Amino acid sequence: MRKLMSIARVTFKEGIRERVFLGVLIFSALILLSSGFVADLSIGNILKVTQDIGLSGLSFLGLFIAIFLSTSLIAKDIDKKTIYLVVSKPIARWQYILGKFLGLSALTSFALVIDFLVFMISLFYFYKTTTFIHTPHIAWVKHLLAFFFLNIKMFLLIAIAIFFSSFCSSSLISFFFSFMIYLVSANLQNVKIILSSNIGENISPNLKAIFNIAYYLLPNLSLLDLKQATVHNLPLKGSNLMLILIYALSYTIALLLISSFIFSKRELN
Amino acid sequence: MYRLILGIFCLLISIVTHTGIKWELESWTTSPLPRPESALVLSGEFAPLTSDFFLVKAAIFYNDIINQKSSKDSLWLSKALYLASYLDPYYFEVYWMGGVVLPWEGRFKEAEIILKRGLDYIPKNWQIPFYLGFINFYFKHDNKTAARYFFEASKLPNSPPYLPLLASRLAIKGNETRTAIYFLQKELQEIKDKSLKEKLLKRLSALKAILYLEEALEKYKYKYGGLPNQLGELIKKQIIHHIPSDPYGGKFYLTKSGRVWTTSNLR
Repeated sequence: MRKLMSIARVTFKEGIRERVFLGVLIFSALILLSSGFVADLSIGNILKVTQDIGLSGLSFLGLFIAIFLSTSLIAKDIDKKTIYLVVSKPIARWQYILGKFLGLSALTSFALVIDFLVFMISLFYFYKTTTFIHTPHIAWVKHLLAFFFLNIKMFLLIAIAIFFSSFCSSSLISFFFSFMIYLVSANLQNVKIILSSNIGENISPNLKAIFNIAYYLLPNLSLLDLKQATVHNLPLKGSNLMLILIYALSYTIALLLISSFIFSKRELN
Repeated sequence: MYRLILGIFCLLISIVTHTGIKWELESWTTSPLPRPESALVLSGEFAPLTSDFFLVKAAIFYNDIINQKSSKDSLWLSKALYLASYLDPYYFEVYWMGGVVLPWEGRFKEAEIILKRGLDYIPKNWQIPFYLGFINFYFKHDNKTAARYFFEASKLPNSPPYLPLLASRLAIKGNETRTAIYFLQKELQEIKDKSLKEKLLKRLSALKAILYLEEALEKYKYKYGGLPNQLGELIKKQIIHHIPSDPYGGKFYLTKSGRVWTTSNLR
């Protein structure tokens, strides 16, 4: 356990020291801080636009750290041969993978918590200082829930990035694969909706069968996206959220187990 | 050294060409729109944010129509609003713009398509069936359907108390101008945007002028048992003193079916 924690701690520190991390964190904090003012320039429901900018900004920050930093940090270990120092110690390969995962997850959550606080303060300030014709309702509890599920989504993305890093030789390739998987899985629900509409009638059944396989095989990230439900205060079912949570966690654990298996067979030279 | 000189030279070329480029707002706002399905898939989890973007684009375009900067291609406007409603179907303001702006630009069929999406996604909002009812009543002259929509709207929470009355009155007899004035006055209470408010106020005063003439026609009919051939006869028979001017610059006239209308078509 101590070995695991020390790897996690080193990963966390290494990530914080990355200049890109700091840059993105400050940049996104600025966006979130100014979300109210930016939305004020727009037309329509400015409170909705503020929340849209805020939640999308948080998503974007998490996405960047989870995919970009995860793939580059592991590849750096192998490239700079610092991994030999770890592997030569009495540490199992699975401990290395799990430690990396914990460190990266802590790093992502750390950045997300900072930005979430900035966003909440800016939203609250905007809500209090703007005059509305009808006093709108902000679902604060759902914001917390959306934030929690955003974190879970990032853990899953980190697991995906680690999975590809466990066998890809360069960080660019694992970044590319992880990003592609993200693009596809964030859209699974959208594509399903489109296929079930009248457009789907012109699509060949073979293609539909392939999609159906992909739908159940790939991680369905759109399930973990509660942005719309939060902004429009749509009803959410507790039992369904519980199932989504179990789904995401078991998928994450499965990916970590498979990656540690692949990584233990990998020759490092 | 020569690289630096070459670099500065290229920079100069780009700056000089930049001064020659004309920034055409119109070509920016009316750029071709993506298919809704492709836009949804491309924007992924950021679809609601993209929807905000297209609503802003639509509003800028509409502002250009008001200021007559743009050729009046309101089809683009309806497509942009449909796209915005596809990307975030729970965003009420898109339906609001579809219901309040589109029909007056002659796109009531498109407005109906957009609003019907809204009925599915925001079933508890009374304004969406209200707009649908108004479109059916004022633009399609289908009082039966209109009354049904108004009745539907009146059953939803927060709907104004006059709705059931309106629905029942419509079911008996359409009183189009008066209903249109009701509708506009209600909208005016909620609008913050200055230029839109001005535009609606202009329309309201035109409709009030039409109502004034229609009431005079009623009196004429009551007195003489038929309609005059021209509006000028109302002055001759001393029912009114003058024919009000159309704020849109047109002239009021009597259609063959006995309605008061204007040569400006309220645009």
